[in-house]
Amino acid sequence: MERANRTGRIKEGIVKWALFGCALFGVLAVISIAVFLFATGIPFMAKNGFGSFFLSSTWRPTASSPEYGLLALFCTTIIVTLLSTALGGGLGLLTAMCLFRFVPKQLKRPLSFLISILSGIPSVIYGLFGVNVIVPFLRDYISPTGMGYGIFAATLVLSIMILPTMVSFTLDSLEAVNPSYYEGALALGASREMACFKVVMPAAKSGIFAALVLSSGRAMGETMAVIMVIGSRATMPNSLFQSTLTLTGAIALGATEYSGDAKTSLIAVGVVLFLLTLIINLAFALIRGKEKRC
Amino acid sequence: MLKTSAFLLAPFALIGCASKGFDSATPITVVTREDGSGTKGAFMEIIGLKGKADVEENIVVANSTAAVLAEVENNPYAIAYDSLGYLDDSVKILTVDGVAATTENIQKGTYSISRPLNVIYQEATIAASPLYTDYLSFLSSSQAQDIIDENGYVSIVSDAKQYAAPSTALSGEIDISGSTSLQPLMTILAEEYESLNSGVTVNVSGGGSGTGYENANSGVSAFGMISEEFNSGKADKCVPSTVAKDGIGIIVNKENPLNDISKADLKTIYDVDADPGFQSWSELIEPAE
Amino acid sequence: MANKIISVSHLNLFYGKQQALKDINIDIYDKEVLALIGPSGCGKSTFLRSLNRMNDLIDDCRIEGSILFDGKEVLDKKTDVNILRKRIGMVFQRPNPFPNSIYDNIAFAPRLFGIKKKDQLNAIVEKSLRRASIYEEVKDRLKTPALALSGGQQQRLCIARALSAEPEVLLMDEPTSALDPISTAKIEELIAELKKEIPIIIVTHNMQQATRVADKTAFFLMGEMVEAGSTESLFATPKDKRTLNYITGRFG
Repeated sequence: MERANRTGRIKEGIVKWALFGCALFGVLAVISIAVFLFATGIPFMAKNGFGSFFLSSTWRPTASSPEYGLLALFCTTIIVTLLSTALGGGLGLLTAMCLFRFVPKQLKRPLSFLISILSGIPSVIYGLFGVNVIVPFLRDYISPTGMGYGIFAATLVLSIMILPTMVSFTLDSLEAVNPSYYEGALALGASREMACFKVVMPAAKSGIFAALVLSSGRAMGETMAVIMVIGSRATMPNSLFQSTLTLTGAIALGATEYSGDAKTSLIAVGVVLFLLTLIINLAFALIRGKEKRC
Repeated sequence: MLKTSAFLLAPFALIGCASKGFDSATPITVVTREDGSGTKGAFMEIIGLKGKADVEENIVVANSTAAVLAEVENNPYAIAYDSLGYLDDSVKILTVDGVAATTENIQKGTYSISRPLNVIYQEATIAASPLYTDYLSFLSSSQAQDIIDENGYVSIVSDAKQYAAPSTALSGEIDISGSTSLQPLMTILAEEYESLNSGVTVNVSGGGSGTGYENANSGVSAFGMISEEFNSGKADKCVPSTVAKDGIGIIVNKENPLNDISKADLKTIYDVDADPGFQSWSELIEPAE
Repeated sequence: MANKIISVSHLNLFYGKQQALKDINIDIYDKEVLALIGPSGCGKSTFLRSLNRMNDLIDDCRIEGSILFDGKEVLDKKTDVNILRKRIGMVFQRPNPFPNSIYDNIAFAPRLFGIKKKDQLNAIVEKSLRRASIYEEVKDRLKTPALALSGGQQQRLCIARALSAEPEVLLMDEPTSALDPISTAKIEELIAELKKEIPIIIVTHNMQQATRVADKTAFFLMGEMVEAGSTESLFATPKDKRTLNYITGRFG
């Protein structure tokens, strides 16, 4: 009895330490990535001047007199993220609403499944779709400049990419709303649309907002699909149909080709991305936390 | 439901769109490669724009040779440059100043837009290894030259000797990395070498010319591949050996009526400071054409 | 005799293959309270929800027969259910105020039907809250969340919300089953007040409540309406053996 107890306790201890080790691995990964980025990136920024790093819009790390101005990349990233979150978010919200109460029950599962497939498609496939379908279409029929590449194309591609995240999170939060609200609204003479948009949607708003934040994180972090359709010349964006480049795109384009200072500059860009991602994640956690307390 | 099916069908509708025909009043879409690309470095240097920034209007930066080809094939108004070894009949290759981008013209040196494809290595490392030395001699053998010619590159060793595997069988691994322009050719050469020396494995990987310099200089790879004139400043411990020459073809879409371009016009197209640059294709296409 | 407001005849209702209501016939008159009693699953709630077509929400639900309201067929496909539900209000078993302010809860229905003017809305909100005898308790905190109210207050708020649409009939589905005795008493008082204006149909599992509030009572069992009549006579001299067994507590 005593012995069995002791082996039991030892086993428990092993499991506990193994689990602790796994958790520690994750924590160490985050810390080491952060240390790697900051230890290399911050001194680089300091050496070249924080002012020119953040306020100049000329990004030419490989030129004979290199310039490391981040502003154009930063603005493009923000614009692309906001536009695609607005478009994909809106589309996703309506799609989720449609799946929530406006399709027959038999269709709901197959349709949600189809949309969830979108999340499993590798981003390079989205890029191929963008470059072969969206970009030529924009060039031939939409673009005023004869240029299919640019922020508009990237926005369209990203909107499709964030759709599954948006739809599944929104649908979850709509379904988490007490069904008696929906019933109560109908009983007052509200149409299905009114009940959904005026009662259920407001009740799910923090969940929907969290879905938007998460989607914007995905849009901001996406690299491959974006560099395939955005034109990739680092320029301050002043048109939706113009070659420009995001922070992630700059890193991806340079990562295998650059060496020396140019390569280090990419790590400095990584620091900025890391901070932006951190902000988005904190916002998400904050919303989620608030939702739980309600 | 309707929305979903419309969404699913949209791509097919878009693909089905017929092309509208070539309208020469349309601006030129300038296709280039990302900074750091060996092909880009070589091209910009040859046309006299070394180290200059890209033009700002209507430019697309493609991050692989395949992406360059795809863009020119799909976009009637695109112009691009790419390794001749990659080009196929999906695009139109222009003559430059009246000279066609052929093997003979590159060997003769009359076609102006060409570059060497080099392997670089540390002499001591090669000398110390019979395997590496043997591989280097294979690269200038007649078998290698045949492969180079067959694959659309330009061989430069005229009186190449037949290669024979050494009597004492070699074994081991050879690591080669760098320029993605040289990578496909080097892969075929490596396969041939492996078939002649059954105990040897040759690993060829890409990464770009930058990687080629770095890996050869740090000793990570025995050979680094670079697709430009060797710059000793980027790898001070290394020496180069030219494997082949690569013509850079100037390509446009098949619908484009243009057949020839001058090196000067090419420079204007790619020059960020060109004033005035070309506003549309009509300035390049003679009315007679 | 008061006006006949609703007239139900030969009503049969099926969930898939299972028949949940069997040949129901009953008339509902103005200004009286009809209580529907019976054990769980007897069909009393299903019947109640047929009157404002809330069963439409359930897949596989099929209704036959006739429900005439104000001379028009409720079950007709052409009937505008939104208008129907505005005219026949409903209060649920569990208080279900919307997760916004007291004011917005009451203003919801008027806004739906196009009333936008602030003073008009204010008047409706005040009147509805007064009719549900809750105005005095909440008049100083109309902008606070409805969910902060107590359960009994929430239910009276829901009654006020139903009244805001000026219904001609009020359906109540076990409105006090989730409430304490004091809150229950308040709701029963309210029912007595409201029946002076409109007829009320109330489902209850509590027979004492039926005797307290209802003029008429109908007893349901296994989808059948066994007996209906004045509350007094139904409880004093039931005509059917099953009714007697139920009201004397032999089952249920």
